[in-house]
Formats: sequence, structure tokens, C-alpha cells
Amino acid sequence: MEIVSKHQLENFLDPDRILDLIQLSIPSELNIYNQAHLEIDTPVTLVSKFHTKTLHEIGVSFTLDGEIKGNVICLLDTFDHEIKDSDSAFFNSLFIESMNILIGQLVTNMEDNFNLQSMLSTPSLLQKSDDHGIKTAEQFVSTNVGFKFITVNNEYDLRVVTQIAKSGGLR
Amino acid sequence: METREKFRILIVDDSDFSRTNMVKMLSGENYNIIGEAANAKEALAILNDRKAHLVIVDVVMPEVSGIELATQITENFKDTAIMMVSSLAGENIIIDSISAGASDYLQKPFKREDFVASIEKILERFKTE
Repeated sequence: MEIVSKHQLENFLDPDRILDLIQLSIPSELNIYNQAHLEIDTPVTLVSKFHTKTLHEIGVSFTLDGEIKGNVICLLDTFDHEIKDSDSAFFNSLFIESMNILIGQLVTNMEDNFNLQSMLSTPSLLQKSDDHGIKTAEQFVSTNVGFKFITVNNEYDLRVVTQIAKSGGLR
Repeated sequence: METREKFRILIVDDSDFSRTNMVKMLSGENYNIIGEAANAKEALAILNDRKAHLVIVDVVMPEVSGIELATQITENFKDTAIMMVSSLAGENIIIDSISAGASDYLQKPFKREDFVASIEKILERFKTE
């Protein structure tokens, strides 16, 4: 297992190494209390620009602070999957907690595997009106990974975009 | 017939799903869930009003973190045990949680049997008092 010390961190934060960091730390599969199942559908790749959100996507974002700084955006595509008003509160709550668990495990694995400590914020739900254009961010290295989010009733496409600050969290 | 006093448990988590899920996991066990709180303020209001043997606390919560809440519980409710739960399980967070007074730490998602076993282990101290 590769361990990266703090003085090596600056070198670590080049795109290829960040790709390694996310690839080796993101859980490939998760069972969320038998209510939802997550499994990687498309591998982690570097992206130079991405759609922040479509009108059919439900989104949740987290910020990372510490030795790794940045943010994570999780976007669930509900296109062709109508969610009834009566089910939406439970569905949103299940989705948010599932993302909290997924990203929490990512952060824990980054610490266990690479000795990089970060704190995760509470999740923020992105509103329907939030922007859905193309975003590029020079100060970040961005990655994208696709998951299937499988519930009792349906199967959804989920994309998880991480944006890690190139300058890192060195104090 | 002698019956065991029902242990009184408070669940604190900002996720509706997570709180409901924990309540479901404990249904059928001999516990009295005295309340659910979505943040530290609600939790302290319940604890000031009702005795709890155990408080189950999520680590990452808005405004006041679970670790800060655990510190306050330890200082002000000395007969109340604390269990921390979180999707995060880094060494420092676990150490901080134990330092704040937590008796155990479970990483989410956890299995029902592990959850109940951890609660039973913590509550042992009340059985022998």
C-alpha cells in the first residue's frame, strides 16, 4: 500500500496522482441497509469540463477540507423515472444519506490508503433551479465516475464528480 | 415475573432516513426510544426533559458537530452513555469521539446485529449497577 507523507503531497496533486487517489479510494459497491445498492458503472476518469446538473438530475454536494481540499457533486438522473410526490421525501432522504455514506467512505479510504486527512461537510441539496451548464475550473483537478443507484423500484444513473484543489491543503 | 427495565435511547442524526432506519433496526428489541433529534439543540432539549441511558450520535451534523454534542453530554449528563455513528471512520475522528466520551463507534452502513450488539455491550454497565 502506498503511503504519501505531507512533504510529498505537493507532488501528489498532479492530475494522474489524483486520478489514482480517487480510483483506489472510491468504494466500487455499497449496500445501503437493503434499501439501495450502489455499484460502479463507468470507471473513474479525469474530466476537463462537465455538465453541473441537468433539469432531470437531483444533486447533492459536499465540501472537503484538510489535506485534500475541494468538493464532491453527486447527480442522480431521474429522467424517465417519475418519482411520485408521496415518495419524494423518502427518496430524497435515502439518496442524500446514500451519498453521505459513499463519500464518507471515500474520505475514510483516502486517509487509510494514502494518509491524507480531510473533513467532510454535511450534504447540501442542489435545487432544481441551480445551474445546469458546463463548468470548468482551472484551480481544480476534476474526475467523474458513474454508478448505478438501484432501489427496490428502479435503477438510476448516478455520476459523482470530484474537484480536488491543485494547491492542496498544505499549511 | 421479573422484567428488565427498558433501556432508554435517544437517536441524534440530521438524516431523516438514518434516524428512521435506526429506529426500525431497534424495533422488537427491549428498548424505549425516547426521542429522535435532528441536531444538537434538539437533543439537549430532550435530554433536559427526559432521562436517557444511551444517546446515539451522528458525527457530522450542521452547526454543532456530533463530537461537540458528545462533549456536552459527557459534561452535563454523567449517567448517559454515548455511541457515535458516521460514514467517516478515520483514526482521528474515532480518537476524538472516544475522548469526547463515546463508548463505541460504528461506521455506516452497519448491520442490525452489529448495532444491537454494540448497544448491549454499552448498556452492560447499567445492568450491573
